[in-house]
Amino acid sequence: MRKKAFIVLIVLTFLIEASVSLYFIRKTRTVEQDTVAINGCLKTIEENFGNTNAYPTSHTYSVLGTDGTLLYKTDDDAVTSVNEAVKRGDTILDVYQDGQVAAKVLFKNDLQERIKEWQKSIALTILICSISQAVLVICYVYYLHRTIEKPFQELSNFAERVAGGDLEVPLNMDKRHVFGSFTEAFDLMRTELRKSRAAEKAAYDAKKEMVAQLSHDIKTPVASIKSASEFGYELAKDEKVKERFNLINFKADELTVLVDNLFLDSVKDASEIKVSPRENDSSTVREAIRHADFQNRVEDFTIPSCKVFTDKLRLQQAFDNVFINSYKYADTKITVEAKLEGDYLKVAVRDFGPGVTDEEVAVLKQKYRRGANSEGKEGAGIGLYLTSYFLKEMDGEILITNENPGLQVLFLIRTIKE
Amino acid sequence: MTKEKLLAGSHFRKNKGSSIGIFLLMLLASALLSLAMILFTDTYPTATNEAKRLDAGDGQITLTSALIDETDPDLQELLRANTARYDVVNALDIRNTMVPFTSGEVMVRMQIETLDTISKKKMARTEILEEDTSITSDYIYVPYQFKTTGSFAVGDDYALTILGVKYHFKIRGFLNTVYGGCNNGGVFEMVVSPETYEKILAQCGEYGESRIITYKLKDDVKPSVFRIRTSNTLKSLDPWAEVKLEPIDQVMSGRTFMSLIIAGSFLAVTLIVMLVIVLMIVNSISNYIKENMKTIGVLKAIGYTGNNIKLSLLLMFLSLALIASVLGIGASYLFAGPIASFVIAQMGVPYTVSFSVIGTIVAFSTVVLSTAVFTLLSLRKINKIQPIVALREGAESHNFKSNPIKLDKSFLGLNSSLSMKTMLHNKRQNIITFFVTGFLIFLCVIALLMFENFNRKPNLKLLANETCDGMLSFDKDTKEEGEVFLASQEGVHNIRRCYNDTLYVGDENSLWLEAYDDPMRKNNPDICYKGRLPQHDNEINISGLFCKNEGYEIGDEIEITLGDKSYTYLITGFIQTTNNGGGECVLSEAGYAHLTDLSSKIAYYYFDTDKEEQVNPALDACKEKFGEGVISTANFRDVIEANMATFRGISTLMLVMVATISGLVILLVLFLLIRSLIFSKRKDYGIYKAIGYTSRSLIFQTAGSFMPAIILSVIVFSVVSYVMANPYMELIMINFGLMKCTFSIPIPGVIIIGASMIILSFLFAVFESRRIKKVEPYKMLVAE
Amino acid sequence: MNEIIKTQKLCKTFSNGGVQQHVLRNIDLSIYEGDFTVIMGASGAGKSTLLYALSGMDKPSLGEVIFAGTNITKSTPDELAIFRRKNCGFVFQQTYLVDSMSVLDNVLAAALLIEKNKKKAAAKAKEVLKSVDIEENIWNKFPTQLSGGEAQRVGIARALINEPKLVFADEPTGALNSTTGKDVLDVLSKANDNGQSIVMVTHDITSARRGNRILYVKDGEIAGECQLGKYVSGDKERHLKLRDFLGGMGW
Repeated sequence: MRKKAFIVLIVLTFLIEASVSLYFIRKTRTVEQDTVAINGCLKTIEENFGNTNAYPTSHTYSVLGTDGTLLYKTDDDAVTSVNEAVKRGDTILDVYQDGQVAAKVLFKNDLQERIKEWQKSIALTILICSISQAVLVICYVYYLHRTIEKPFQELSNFAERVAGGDLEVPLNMDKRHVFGSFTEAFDLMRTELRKSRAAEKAAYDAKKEMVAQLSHDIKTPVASIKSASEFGYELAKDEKVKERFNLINFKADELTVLVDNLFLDSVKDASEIKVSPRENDSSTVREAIRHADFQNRVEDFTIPSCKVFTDKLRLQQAFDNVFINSYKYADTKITVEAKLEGDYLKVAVRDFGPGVTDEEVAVLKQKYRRGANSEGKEGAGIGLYLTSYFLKEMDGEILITNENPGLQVLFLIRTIKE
Repeated sequence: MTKEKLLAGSHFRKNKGSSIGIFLLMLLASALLSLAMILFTDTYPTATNEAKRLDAGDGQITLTSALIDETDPDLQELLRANTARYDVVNALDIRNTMVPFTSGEVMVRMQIETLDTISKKKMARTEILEEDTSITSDYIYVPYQFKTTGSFAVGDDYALTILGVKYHFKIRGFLNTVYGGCNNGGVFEMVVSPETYEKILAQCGEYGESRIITYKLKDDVKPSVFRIRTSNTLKSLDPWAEVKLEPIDQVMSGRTFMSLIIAGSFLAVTLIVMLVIVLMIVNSISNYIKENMKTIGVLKAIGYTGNNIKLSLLLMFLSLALIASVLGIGASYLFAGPIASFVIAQMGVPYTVSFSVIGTIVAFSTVVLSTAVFTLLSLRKINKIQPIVALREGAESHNFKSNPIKLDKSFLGLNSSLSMKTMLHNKRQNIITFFVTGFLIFLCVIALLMFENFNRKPNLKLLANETCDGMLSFDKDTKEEGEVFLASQEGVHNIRRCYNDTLYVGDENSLWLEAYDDPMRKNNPDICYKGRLPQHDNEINISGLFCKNEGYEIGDEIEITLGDKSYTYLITGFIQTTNNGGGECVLSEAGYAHLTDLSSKIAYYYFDTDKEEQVNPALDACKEKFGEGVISTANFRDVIEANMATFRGISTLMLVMVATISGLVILLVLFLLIRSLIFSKRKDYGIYKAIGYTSRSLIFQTAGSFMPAIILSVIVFSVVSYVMANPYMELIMINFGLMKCTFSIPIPGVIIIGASMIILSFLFAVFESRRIKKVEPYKMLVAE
Repeated sequence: MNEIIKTQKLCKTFSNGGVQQHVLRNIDLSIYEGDFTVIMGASGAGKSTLLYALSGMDKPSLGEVIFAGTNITKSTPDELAIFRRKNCGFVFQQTYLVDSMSVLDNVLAAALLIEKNKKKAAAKAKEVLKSVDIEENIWNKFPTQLSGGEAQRVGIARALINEPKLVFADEPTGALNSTTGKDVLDVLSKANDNGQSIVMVTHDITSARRGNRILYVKDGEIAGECQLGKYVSGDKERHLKLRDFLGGMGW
């Protein structure tokens, strides 16, 4: 609190009022007639008695002879008889010549005018006092506004924001520190809330990530089971055994759908999946392809040695998606060719199936889009979308082209120059 | 206490420069204050003490009458009834004599006695000083003031015209006397050989010797009442008797008046200097704290309480104050002699500086106590400050700093912008610089005013009731013819007829009257400072001091008595006067005629001449033509010359002293301010240097950062001083009867003061800032 | 083990131009007698702030500090100063010796706060100076004439002179080279061996090794703590344990 400033202000106001009042009190003396001026005027008349040209004109007066006759008057405002003068409260003075009263001078009493002036000065005094007090009050109100109301307003805005869930905008410290530790605690509360909210989100995300991961992990063995059961179905002679294999096959399809649904549910938005690329050797790419190709459809291939900027897990998932798609829709042999070109390690994965129409190629990477050939095949239409997203997050890209026959998926993997 | 003593010593070692600066300021303060106190408490009362020692009583009556002497029963009855004791001696009372004094002449009454007379005095004794008994013939003893004003010594020739006869004397010794010892009292007591005495007595004619009655009143008798009773009694016994009444207080105020002005002016100057010094001490102490924030933080960390630290700082500053005040008071006694001689000159009493107990106590306690109080005040925040904040040199947990001058947006040059930045970071320093400079400007303007009005162009209008080129007085029979003759002299014009008298208000108060044939023609209408001069026969002007004390206002009526006549006048204005204890009035001739018969009065004629050289021929012509009819003549310039001598000396002294003190103070102030500035910004300077600023540009930056405050202060305070100097002088002068000062202040002088202040402080600032040069950037950076 | 300090929801907020920064947030912490507690953390994590809040040198924004049974957050500055005399010793990175006092006087300035008898105080000061290997020939030197290591050891002597309950050290070796730093740390370890409780802030692992309890401050909170045994020179395993702990904290 700025007590000092206030004391100064109050003292100043007091001084202004006191001096104005003092000035006014002093001024009241002027309500008396100016005896010196009137004496000067009277004496001048006395000295120049009879010579009206030399009479002073500073006052309004008339000169009456001893017999009451009007000898001189300054203007029409001057009275012409003693009685009139008495009535008006005029000042009557004698003019002496050689020790004898020679005439009377009737000075106009301008009391009314002086009272008016006096009233004016009272009004002025009151006005000045009021103004200075008003200034004091305004200053105080402004002070209160600045030191209490405004910070409080800010505080309440802040509370509103926090209540509305906005935890990002901080609460600023007010200059005079009026609310002190209250402000500090309040802002601290915001940061703690934000922190716990972030922690909550992180936990939720981690859970979803786990489900996504699990579902993905389940998909691959299920695909293995399926192909194994199909193989078994072909090999089995006994109808009963065939039927059993068929059941396995059917249930594996069912399981795939369920896992896909689970995956879809956990990954409402691909952007929620964290991709953390780092420097890896290009051999990891080879491993990923080998892993993805669990049906061993790919013939031998080479990956040029280099450093790549990848997230191993996500890259694996990307290849998994492409290979599973290929198994699903083309079911042919698959070729893999890799070469270093520009900033990228380009890995082309091609099958020799029916492929898709050219119009469809453009939209394949979108979410929930499936080619026309997907009729009757289980799947969510999310595989290529995710693959594309993962590669982008690794600063790479996938390009899908119709190769007639077959479909080629070109992985552009960012390399790191040594 | 041990630990605090240990710390106090450490504080001093750490800040030797500032400590010495503060010490010097304290020294100056105590010296000046002590000096002022010596003048007031020791020098100034000398005349009063001497009066007491010489048993001056309550007053003196000089009675010149052919009819009455001290054996008169009525007079004896009067004295018996009213006085506790009285003493009568005979002497020659020579009125209106031009007496050579200092380098000119003064018109005074002379009271001539013999050695025999003074040896008989039982009251108001006259002492002889520095007598040279080898001078045996045509000797004269003159009042001691003849020596103190510096113009005469024992053995000097002294020519004097008494009642038209020229005497050639040799000064045999000086008189230490109460009533006739000072030109301001209007009486000079002189002792001559019996032969000379007889010769002068023969010239005096019918009145012969006068009775000098010194009295001590009974406790219940009021001095003023006694004076009126005496005057009335004596006039009734002998209407032609010349009665001169001199109450002791009036004599003393006349005698000490000039000393009071000098001591007062000195005090006025001292007060301003004290103000500056206190301001600087406060500032230095608080800078000191700022500079030693870290040490305070450390001390707090290891467990010193705020009070421990305060005590240690207090201990240091108090020891500084103690030593400074002891030395300062000592120094003041060294300088007291020469300065006191100016004060004593006008009193004309023997004086040696003695130890002033009160003065010493006041000076000592003021410096020590104010140091204690202001140290404690400045140290208030030490208790509150968190130790860690102190260690971080004042960086608070919550700060709101801003960057006032942005280099990219400033329209000033780089150096000026950086100067401005420095300036804005040192708000308090600048405020202090502003006021210190301002006070010094004010001080210099006051000194300038005194020099201008008392020395260069003596402002006679404030010191004399009327100014003219020449003056003479005719006796009652010669005056009409004389006036016509005077008017016919070459170059003479504007002759003003004037009468002097003593009038009474009620039973107690007397007023010295100056009645002019036409007051409106006075050369010095400024004597009336409020209202207007009397124009008509029923109008009067009275000194404002008297009216203020007695409650009269302009427009009031006042009854004035002279002998058995009285008349009621209308007060039309207030006059101001430094004479007669401020009790004077002005009437028109017609107004005075209500109280007395003018034809029986001596008239004085003031006149102006076209050329300066025409004054003496005119006076001589009158003397030649009317002889004895001319009572006195005076060449006004010569008279002024004699009266102004002391004023000239003191005003020059004052100017020199004030200029020296101002220079010294601004030097010290800038020393302290710049020191603390450089200290607090040493890191910045180190960085500036490191990035390639030259020392030269840094020095000018630092010096330049003080200039806006100084220039602004010079401008503001030059105007303020120009406006406020007269009111300020009024504050002091009102005690001497000057109600409204209209001292002239030469504007070129003010401009010169301002300009030299700016230049001087810039040079000082550059000089003080030069220490920036010495420090290497690296050392500044690691100045932890 | 006895608690010397216990904090409850200790918070410290700074602000610059109105923008708040919560340097310490809701810290609940105990410091135990006899421990050589080390506070570590990245620069700006709030370790020094924590140290000064613990010692009552700075007023926390919120929360309380109970020091030796006294709630020092409620004490006045003077009460705190008197409290510090008996309970706290301080060793700062910049030493903060009073330049205008000799070495002995610097230590005496602290000693005289408790021991009113000048002679006794001086004797004690000399004894403590000797114990930190400051020899008689430098007792009358001024701090500016000392080497960094010497100055810091004088600082430690000043901190130890009144046998405080706790010595607070804020990066005592921060401005020293490794050799002189080691001397200083040895002095501190020695004091700790003699039963002196110490709290030290450092971001230097060599210094941190001296502690038997390491607190890691991160983002205004105690992110973790690690108990090591008493310091023994050359204990490899201890060092590895500390490494692991700091690694886990993201050091």
